[in-house]
Amino acid sequence: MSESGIPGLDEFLSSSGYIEGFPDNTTTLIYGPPKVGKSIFCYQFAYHGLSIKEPCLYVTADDGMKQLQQNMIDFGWFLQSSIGEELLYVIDSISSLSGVPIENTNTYTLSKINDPTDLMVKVGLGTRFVFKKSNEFRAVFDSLTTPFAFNPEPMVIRFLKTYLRRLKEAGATVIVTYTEGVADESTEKTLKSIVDNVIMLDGNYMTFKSSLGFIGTAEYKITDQGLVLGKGEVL
Amino acid sequence: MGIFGGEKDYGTSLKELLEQLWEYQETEANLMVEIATLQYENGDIDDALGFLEKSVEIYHELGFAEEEATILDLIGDVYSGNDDISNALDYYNKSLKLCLSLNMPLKAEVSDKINKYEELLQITEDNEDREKIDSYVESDASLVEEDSIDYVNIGKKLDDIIRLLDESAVYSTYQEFKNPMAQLEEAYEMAHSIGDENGEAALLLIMGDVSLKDEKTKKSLEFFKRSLNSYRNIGDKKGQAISKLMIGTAYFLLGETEEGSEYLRKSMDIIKHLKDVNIEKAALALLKSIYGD
Amino acid sequence: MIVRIASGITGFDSLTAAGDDLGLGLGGIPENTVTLIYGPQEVGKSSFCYGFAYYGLTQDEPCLYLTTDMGIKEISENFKDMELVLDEYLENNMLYVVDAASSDGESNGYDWYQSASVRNPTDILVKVTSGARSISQKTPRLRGVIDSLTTVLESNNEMLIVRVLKTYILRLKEAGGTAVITYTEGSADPRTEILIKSMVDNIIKLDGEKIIIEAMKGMGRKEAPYQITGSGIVINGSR
Repeated sequence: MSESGIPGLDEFLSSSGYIEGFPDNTTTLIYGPPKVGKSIFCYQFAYHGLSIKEPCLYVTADDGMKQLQQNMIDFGWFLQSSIGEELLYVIDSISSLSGVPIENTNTYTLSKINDPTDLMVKVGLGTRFVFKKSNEFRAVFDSLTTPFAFNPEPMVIRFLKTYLRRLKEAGATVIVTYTEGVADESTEKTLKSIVDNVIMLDGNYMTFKSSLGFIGTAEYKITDQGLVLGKGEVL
Repeated sequence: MGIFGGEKDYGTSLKELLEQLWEYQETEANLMVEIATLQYENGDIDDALGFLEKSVEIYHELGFAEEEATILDLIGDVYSGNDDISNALDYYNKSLKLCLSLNMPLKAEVSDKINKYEELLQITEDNEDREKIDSYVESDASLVEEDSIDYVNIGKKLDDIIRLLDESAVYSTYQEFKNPMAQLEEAYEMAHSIGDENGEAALLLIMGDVSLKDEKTKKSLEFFKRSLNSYRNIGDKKGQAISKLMIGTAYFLLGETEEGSEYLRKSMDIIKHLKDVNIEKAALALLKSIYGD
Repeated sequence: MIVRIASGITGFDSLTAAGDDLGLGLGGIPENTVTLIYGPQEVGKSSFCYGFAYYGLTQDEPCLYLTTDMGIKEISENFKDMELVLDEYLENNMLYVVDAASSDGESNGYDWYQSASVRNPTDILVKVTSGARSISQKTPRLRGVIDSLTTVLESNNEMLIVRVLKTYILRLKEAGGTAVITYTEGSADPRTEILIKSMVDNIIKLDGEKIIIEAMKGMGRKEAPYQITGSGIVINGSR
């Protein structure tokens, strides 16, 4: 069982008896309209893992590393020590667009948003690095939105399939975010079909659907401590 | 090999087994390459290709990008050795992409091969078109001698033509900046990263123009050819015609008059079909400066 | 703690002030973010931009202004109507204009005035980013305006413009900027609209009667009635 880091979520998932907390070594798509807290879910999930010394492979595709750190600081989540302990490996596929020359480090690599081949290579390197630390780690991909703007949809799907397969094989618990409506219907259907679980956020309710048949909905709020779950119902 | 009690042991056992699995898969791929080599030496090209492709798949699955790049290059060699240039280029390009991501030394070699075969492909294409073209210029075009080249005049005519590129003409105003090439290259990078193909093609053309006026004719030729490629990808006939005019001009200035005339002929052919009076006029003016009055 | 900068719009800052914060929660627009102002035509989106840009200028914050509907002449006239004077800011290189609305040759001799065409997105991007770069070399803060995104979307492949927007946002934030972007609701494909909304940080709707803050960093949804007056947008009182 993984600890999601979202207060109330693990207990809610366990309450049905179907699954024990946030499912370990699975792939989960987190989707919904813009501005409902999908990225915040990622920050929280990654940060919580780091706080219990679980390494994290973080692919950031919407915001650059600087912005990501700033966003997390807004919630009081500081990454410095995790970076120092080499628990956090970041692949930054968007900063190259901002025109600033940045250096790669042991645990920070740049890639290009319109080059899925290069991104996959960097993911491979990152996976091997993190796997050496532990074969129980977290993988975050935030988000698919920008890749869809810069690449043909089939290319993104092809990339994602390989990404999910590789990371699951390496033992990771994977979350991927996606803004609903950005790709066309059939692509969206495919997206939902290639993951184990799906979490839908609509601003008020979080709905969790697992491939093992569990479906549950709970209220949630965005607070200055991140996402917090409220009352929920298992269906 | 049983599953021991206790989570820690499970994790470690799983890890070890996975690592063993990947080792076996890697060995499998290596063996496939050896088999393919044997078959190739024996003339069984198709079988060899089959095994090489299978090995690429395995390396890809394992995430062994370096090996993948090396085998893709090898497949390219098999195709080029078999005179299948377009497939060869396909694989070389795939290999190059990976080489660049990993900054492998192999990238230089693959890049050279791509250039060589692209030229070859271009020449075959040109030879095919040759019969269809009107002879616009008299067969014995006067040879352009080195000292009689009026770069300034020719440069002016090229500028006139570039001005006809509609919106893209604005990029030639970048020439007025302090460091025009740097500005243009930055703009090109920008166009490339946002996927503005029209912008890319136009900027390449103008960088060629700037290089040519700087008397860096060989460099300008490279730019013009890249531009032609881009305009081809977009399907922009006007752009293709203009870039062929530029290529022809550059060849002339390098003393390769036959090559030059070829391109100029092909360009005029497209231009006639475009039925664009302005371009025809500008092109004729250019031809006049090249061939002399 | 989310740092905000004064919006320059009457009533906006008090609407967005955090009431429960010991009076320390200043309202305004979160610094270093991008805000989408959208709604039907003629609801005051451009007026919002004028207020935002002008206030910054009065506080020595340079403004990078990309205009695609109205040329600099028309904008100056509109400012004059609101009794705001632009000339000195243009002369002192505080207002950097990329004008994709006027036809060529309308440059009025200001250093920081560049002409561009809506049909040439790379050129617009090059000019805007070089503007952001030169401003950021001199001052740590700048304001950015794009009025409006709709015109650029109409003249190009929408996805291309989405990528241009993404690049703009990244570069502007890198330069320490805070930007406001206008968009006419329904003027682009629904998919494009969703992409735009997901790339910005804050989303504000003007519907002619109410201003609705649909999403803003550090804040929940808020709304209030407003009017377009002779001196700009005025948002009414209590929350």
